[in-house]
Amino acid sequence: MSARQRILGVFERPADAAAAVREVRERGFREVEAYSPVPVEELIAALPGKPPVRWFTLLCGLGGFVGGMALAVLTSLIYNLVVGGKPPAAFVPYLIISFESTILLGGLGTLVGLLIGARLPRRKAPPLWDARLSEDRYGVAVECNPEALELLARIFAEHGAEDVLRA
Amino acid sequence: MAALTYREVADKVLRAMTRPGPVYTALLGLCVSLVALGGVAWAYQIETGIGVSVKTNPVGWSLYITTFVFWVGIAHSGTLISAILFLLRARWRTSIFRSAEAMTVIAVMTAGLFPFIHLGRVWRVYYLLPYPNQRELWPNFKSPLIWDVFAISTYFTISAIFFFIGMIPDLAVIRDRAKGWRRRIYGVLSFGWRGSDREWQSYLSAYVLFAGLATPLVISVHSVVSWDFAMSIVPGWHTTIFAPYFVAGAIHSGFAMVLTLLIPLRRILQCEDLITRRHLENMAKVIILTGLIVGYAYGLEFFLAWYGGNKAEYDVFVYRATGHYAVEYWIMVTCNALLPLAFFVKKVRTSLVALFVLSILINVGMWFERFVIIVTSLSHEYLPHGWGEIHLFAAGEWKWVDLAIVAGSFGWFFMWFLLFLKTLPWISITEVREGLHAKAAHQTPAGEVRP
Repeated sequence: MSARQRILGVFERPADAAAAVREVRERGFREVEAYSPVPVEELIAALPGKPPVRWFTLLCGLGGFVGGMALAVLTSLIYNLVVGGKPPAAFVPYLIISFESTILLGGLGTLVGLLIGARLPRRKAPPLWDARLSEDRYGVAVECNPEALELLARIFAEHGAEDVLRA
Repeated sequence: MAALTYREVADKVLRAMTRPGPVYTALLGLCVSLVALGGVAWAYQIETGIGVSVKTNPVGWSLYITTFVFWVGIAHSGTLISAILFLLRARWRTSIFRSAEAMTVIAVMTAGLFPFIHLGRVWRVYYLLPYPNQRELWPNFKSPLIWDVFAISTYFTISAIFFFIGMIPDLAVIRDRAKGWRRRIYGVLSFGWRGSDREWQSYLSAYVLFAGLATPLVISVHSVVSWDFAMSIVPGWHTTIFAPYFVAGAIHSGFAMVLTLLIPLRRILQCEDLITRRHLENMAKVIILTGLIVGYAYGLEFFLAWYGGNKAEYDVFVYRATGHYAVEYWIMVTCNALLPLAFFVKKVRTSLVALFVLSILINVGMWFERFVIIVTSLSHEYLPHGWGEIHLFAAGEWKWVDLAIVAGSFGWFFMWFLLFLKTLPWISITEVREGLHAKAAHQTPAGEVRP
C-alpha cells in the first residue's frame, strides 16, 4: 500500500466547508478533519464523534462527593469527640465540604476530559495547517491514498475552496 | 458591529496588548507602590505583632475581614456573567465576560490574602488545610471557617480554569499573529490549539459543563462566607437571610466594579462598538435588581429584630442606625439601596458619567456594608461591659497598618488587572466572532454566510 497523503481545502464560507465535508464523507473517506476559527455547528455535525468530557465530569464529581464526605467523616471519627453539640459524623455540615469537593474534582475532571477529548496539548501543528484557519477561513483536511488526491481537489474546488494545499 | 470582519475583531481586541504608554506605566507604578506600602505594613505587623492592627477586643474581626468579604463579593459577577448568563443564553455577555472573569480571578487572589493577613501567626496558616500528620489532628469540618477554606479555594481553582479554558482559542489567535518568544509562550499557553472539529466538540462540551458546575458554586461561595457569621450566635449575625442577602450584595458590588473598570477601558481602547451602551445599561438593570434585594434585606433585618422579640438583636440594629457607627450605616444604606434606584431613570442609566460615579459609590457602600455587619455586631454583643468600638486614632497614635494594607489590596487588584490587559485578550475574540457568525447566518440564506 502506498503512503497516506494529506490534502487541505481552505474555504471562505463555513457552509461550503460543511458541504465539502459531507460529500467527502459520503464518498467513503473516513480520515476527515475540519478546522474553524469559531465553532460551527454545521461543520461539527457533519463529522462523527462524541466527546467523552461529560463522563470525566460525572465520575470525578461523584468521586469528589464521596471523597469529601469520607474525609470529613473518617477524620472526625479518629478522636470521636462531640463538637458544637453535633455527633462526630455529622452529615449535614459535612454536605458543604462534600459539595465543594464535588465541584472541585468535577471541574478538574472536566479539564482532564477536555484535554483527552481534544487530544491536547499538542506540540506541532497538523501537517498543512495554515494560520488563516485561526483567523477567518475554514479548512477541511483529508488523509487519503495518493490516487484520491485529484478527486478530493476537484471536490474542494466544486464547493468553492479558495485554496487547496497538498503535502 | 455588523460591519466588522473576523480580522478586525482580533485587531481591535489585541490593540490593548501593544506597547504600554506613559499613562499605563504611571498607573502600574502607582499600583505597585500601593502594593509595596501594603507589604511594608504587613511585614511590620508580622514583626511587631497583631496588636498594631486596629482590631482588638471585643472587635476581633475588623478591617481585614471586612475587606476579605468585600473582595470575595467583587469576585461574584465574573462567574455570574460567564456561567449563569451563558446558560441563560444571554448574548450580551459576549464582550464583557472575559474582563469580568479576569476581575473574578484577581479579586479572589486579593481576598485570599486577607485570611493570611488577619492571622497573627501567618506561618501557621497550613493548620487550616486538611493534611496527614503524626498526631492525627484534622480540621473541624463542622466549622464554617473550614467550609470557607474549601469554598474559596474551590472557587479560585474553578474560576481560574474556566477563565483559562475560555481563552484557549484566543491564545491560539495571538500565537499565530506573534513572532519569536511571544509565539512560543502563547503556543504553550494555547496548548497547541488548532480549532479542529474534535477540539471544538470537546471544548463546547467542557464549557457547558464548567458553566453548570460554576453556577451552583458561585451561589454557594458567598453563602458559605455569610455562614462564617450566621452560624454564630452574635446578635445581628445569627439569621437565616444572610446567604441570599450576601449573594445579592456580592452581585451588586461585582457588577458595579465591572462598570467601574469597563467604562474607562472601552473608551481608552476604542472598543465602544464592542462594549456598547446597551451592555452598560443591562448591567445597570441588574444593579437595580440587586439594589432592591439588598435594600429589602436592610429593612427585613430590622423587622426580624423587632418581630423576633430578641432584645440583644433589636438593640444591635438600633445601635447600627444611631450609635457610634451611624455614619457608616447611612453611607451603606444611601450608596447601596437608595442611589441605585436612580437607574430606574433611563437618562441616568444611559449616562456614562452617572454610571461611572454611581458604580464607584456602590462599591464604597458595599465596603461599608461589610464593615457595618462585622464591626457593629462585635462592638455590641450581649453584655454591656463587653461593648467597645474600634478607633483608628487612639492613645495619641494612628492605626495606619490596617489602612495601608487595605490600600495595598486595591493596588494589588488593579496591578493584576493592568497586567492582564497587556498580556491576555481582554475581550473574547472567539465569542465576538461567533456572534458575527450567528448574525450573518441569521440574516442571509444558508450558503451565503460571510465572515
